Amino acid sequence: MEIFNLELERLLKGKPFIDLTGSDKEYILKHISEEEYTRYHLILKATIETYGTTSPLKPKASIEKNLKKAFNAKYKKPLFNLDLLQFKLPQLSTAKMILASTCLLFMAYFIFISLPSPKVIVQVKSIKKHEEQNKTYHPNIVSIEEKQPVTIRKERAEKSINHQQKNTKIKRKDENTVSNNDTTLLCLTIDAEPIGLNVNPEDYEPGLTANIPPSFNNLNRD
Amino acid sequence: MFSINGKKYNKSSDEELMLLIIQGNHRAFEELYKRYSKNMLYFFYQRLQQNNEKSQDFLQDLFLKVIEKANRFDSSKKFKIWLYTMAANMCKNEYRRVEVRGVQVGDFDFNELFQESSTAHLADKFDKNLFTRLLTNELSKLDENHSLTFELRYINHLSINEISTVMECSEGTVKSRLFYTIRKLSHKLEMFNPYNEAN
Repeated sequence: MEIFNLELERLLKGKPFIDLTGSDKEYILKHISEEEYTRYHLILKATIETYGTTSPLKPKASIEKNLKKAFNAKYKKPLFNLDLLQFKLPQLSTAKMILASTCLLFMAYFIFISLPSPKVIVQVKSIKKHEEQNKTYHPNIVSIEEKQPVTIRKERAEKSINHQQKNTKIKRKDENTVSNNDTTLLCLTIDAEPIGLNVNPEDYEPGLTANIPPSFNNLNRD
Repeated sequence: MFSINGKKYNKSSDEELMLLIIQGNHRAFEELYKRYSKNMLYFFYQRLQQNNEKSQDFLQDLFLKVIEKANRFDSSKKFKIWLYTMAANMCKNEYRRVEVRGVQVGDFDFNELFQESSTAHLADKFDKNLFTRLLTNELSKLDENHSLTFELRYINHLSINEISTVMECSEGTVKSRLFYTIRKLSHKLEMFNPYNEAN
């Protein structure tokens, strides 16, 4: 018969013999005497109380530093090796980092290009040319271009000359410029076409929408 | 701090941390060191006759072995058992190297100490320091297997199953050694026996 089982050990680590229940005493006496129980109980209790459950000792701080050096020496290989300069990264982690970065870049690119471009609502009042003719003009966006200010000034100068020369023409162009920064301007060229006599402008769309290039953001001009 | 798979290091099991260590993850190694360094230091302290300097050296050597042999660790087995097995073998090798095993239990006369009182009843006069020294002294006189079994169970709190794996013996053998050691110690440390009344 096994004389030292876990149940006996549990009792020995617990209460003194005198404090045990009747059934526990009966169980113990099947294996050992009361005197033996008391001696063994005291040794175990003293051992457990003395040594406790946590260690009172502390490792030296230098051990952790030495272990870190040894760990780096074993697991981290140099990314490239020059005499004066040496970067070390863990090989597997480097590969994972590069892969993760590449995936993130691709994701960012696809998200960026699939984002809807900001739009500008251009409210253009119906243009009336030659009021005596009661013509109403419906504006249409001809083009949207990014232009440098120098270019715009040139074009305006040319158009001004042209306009003076061709002022009899019904079809005219107007421009709305939306400025995003000092270096580049967004030019909206709108063509106004006559849509008929005595036509109610409200029967047409109140404004125009146009896709603005992504480089121009936060446009809030109507 | 999070590990690569999003789980916190302190919530990962020892075996999961070992897998990360093999991949070169130093944070995982730091966590394992934090979990086991104190207990292993205490283990060496008990096994090496309470020599603190030597225990610190052995602790460092033990974790250097963990770094060197990490790729040999079988993740299907428990890390704790692997660690204690290496530690026990280190102590065994040390015993073989050192010819004389003994313990300095103090420069006072035990007989004189106990003759000062009729009984050194545990309930009345329990001196932890004295008990520790005497217990260490008596354990060092026992067979290495018996003393190691006792320390692993009641000082390092390993289970019977874990001890049997560390010491490469059956659970029955572990229980038998424990019982023998307790019985032996209770005779050797009779001064703490309430039944041993002085005349």
